[in-house]
Amino acid sequence: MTDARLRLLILSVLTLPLAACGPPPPEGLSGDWRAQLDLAGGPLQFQMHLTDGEELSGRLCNGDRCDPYSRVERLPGDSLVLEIGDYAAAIRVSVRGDSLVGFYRNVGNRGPRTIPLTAIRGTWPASTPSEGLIGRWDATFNPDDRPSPRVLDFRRTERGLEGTIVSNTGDYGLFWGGVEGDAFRMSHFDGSFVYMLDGELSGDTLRGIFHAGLTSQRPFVAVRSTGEPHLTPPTEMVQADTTSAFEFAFPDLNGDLVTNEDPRFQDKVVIVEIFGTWCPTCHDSGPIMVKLYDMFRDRGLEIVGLAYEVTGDPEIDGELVARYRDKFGIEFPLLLAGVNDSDSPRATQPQLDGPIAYPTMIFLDRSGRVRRVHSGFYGPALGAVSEELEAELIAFTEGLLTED
Amino acid sequence: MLRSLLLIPFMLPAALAGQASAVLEAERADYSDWLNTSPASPYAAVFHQPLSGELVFGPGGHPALTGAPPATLSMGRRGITLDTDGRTRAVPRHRDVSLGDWRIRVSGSGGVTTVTAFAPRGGPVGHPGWFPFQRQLIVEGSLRRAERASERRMLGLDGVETVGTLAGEIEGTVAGEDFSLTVYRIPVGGSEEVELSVFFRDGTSGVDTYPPGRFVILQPLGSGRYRMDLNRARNPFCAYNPLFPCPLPWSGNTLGVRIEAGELYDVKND
Repeated sequence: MTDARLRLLILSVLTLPLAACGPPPPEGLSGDWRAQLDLAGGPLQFQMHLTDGEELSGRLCNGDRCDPYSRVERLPGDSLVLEIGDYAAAIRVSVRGDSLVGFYRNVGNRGPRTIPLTAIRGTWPASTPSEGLIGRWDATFNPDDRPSPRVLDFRRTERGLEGTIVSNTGDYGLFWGGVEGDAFRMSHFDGSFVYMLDGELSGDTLRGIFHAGLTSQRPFVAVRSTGEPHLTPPTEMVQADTTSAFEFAFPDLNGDLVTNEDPRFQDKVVIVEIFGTWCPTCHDSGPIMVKLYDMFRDRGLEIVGLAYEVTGDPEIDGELVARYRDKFGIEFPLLLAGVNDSDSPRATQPQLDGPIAYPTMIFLDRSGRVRRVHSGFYGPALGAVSEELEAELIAFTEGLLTED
Repeated sequence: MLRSLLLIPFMLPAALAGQASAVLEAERADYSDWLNTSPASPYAAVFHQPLSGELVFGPGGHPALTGAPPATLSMGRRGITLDTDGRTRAVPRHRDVSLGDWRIRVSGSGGVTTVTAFAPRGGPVGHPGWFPFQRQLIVEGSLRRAERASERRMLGLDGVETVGTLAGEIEGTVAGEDFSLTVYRIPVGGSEEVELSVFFRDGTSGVDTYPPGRFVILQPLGSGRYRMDLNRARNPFCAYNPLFPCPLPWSGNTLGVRIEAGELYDVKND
């Protein structure tokens, strides 16, 4: 850590209210911490868990989904650095009595950015949302200029109000939060994306603000979905060449070339998943891929993941993909296919056409031809919709396996 | 250095002004550290040009990027690709791609694409200077919304051309003078974020601060009110490296007083 960064940590502690000062708690830091990022538009809530033993470890929780910090370091002066390796970000806090005070830091193309952070012991209380909020809403972001369609999907859970925002290319991951009357505030913070949605139901219309990062705010207005399509499903936007076998040839994490002509893929049903370790929705689809593999590998299913990563540097990208593999216990090959944006898979996959979302699943039959492209993914944040998608993918895969 | 910093808690008054100042100093130190060490710092840039068609790097190309393998960056129907050693890589926008020890970044939106090449980092290159913190130069004002959210091609702080949307005028009082400054919504490349940006000049411009002006980002306070912390006024990247194009001053965005806050510029050595 450079002097400048350490100084940043030291000085951030000076922002503590004096009432919070005091020695660290005798019982250590173990337990749940109710944390918040102080955005310009209000506090974004999330949950942390620390385990204070010989080594300090911890998890960052967004709703019921928790991911371990890649590294936790204790610094002099009761300060901690909690690194979020997947996203090259970190939380830096100091212990003050029964509080943690500091900031979340990441680095953009225009330099480092920080958001103030505080935490106290405990968990955020759940509140019960009114029936009027629950369900699907057809939303328009920026209704006055550059309008852009979204779908909001809200449901009631034991943690309060949960749901997600869906765009043409997939969902924004799980949002969770609380309500007060017909007003609501929901957050999504996974260590990389800082999103908050707050609003209020007035009559039959939702109005509110979508917050991104420290200061960005976009208004939205939403009406209850009628069932008519409000978005263009990404799956309908992708076309595939089905006249010949689908081809791929990329290095695996050892640098060995893996191609569709390798024996392990011959006469097999194959799912090719285009993904990125930086993509939150891909962390939702990863467990489904593992489940499909466990269910059907003995019946002739193979899966291959094509990773489109951050740097294009095999060493750096390889580390990120290996961490992703280990996180989900993936046993099928993951290949370094390129770098991440919507153009990249198109450039390296000439048999696909159209804007490709992350993740995209390409289902090949035993002859190697594309039978289906499923672009985008509905994760657990969408509740029953996600479960329906999972069941449908299982049924489709099984159908391919039973073909002659 | 660090020892003296560790004494700060005992030396500083508990007043909020002191705490705000300390946080700002820490942010500035972090930014300076990034400028001096990051492989993607504007100081490390050796090439920054619009891309149209094809760009050849390496021996015989421009830029040569000594030691980097020969490579061709192309923009076509299937997006932007980098061909090197017989291999084609897709290049995303707003994220760096390695080319030997060099880095290439493709930026821009709304039809204009910009390529920046960054050299392998050497030693420190200098530290930005700043006016001391002044609490009274954190001002609040109201945003008078534009009647029509017109769009305009413009350069952002990072010298990348983008499409800004006119948000309106922020109105308030600073140093005893009323002001009205134009505000644009400028997207932050590669994210969902859109910043309310003000590019302004004042009595220090061309004397103590960067002549074309400085950027400051508004923080929403609710109910149409915004905070403009002039202590956080920053130079565009062209102040660090002449490769980056400078935004033209925004018409009418000149404060008639000296704003002795934010980032300095050594005009004499320009």
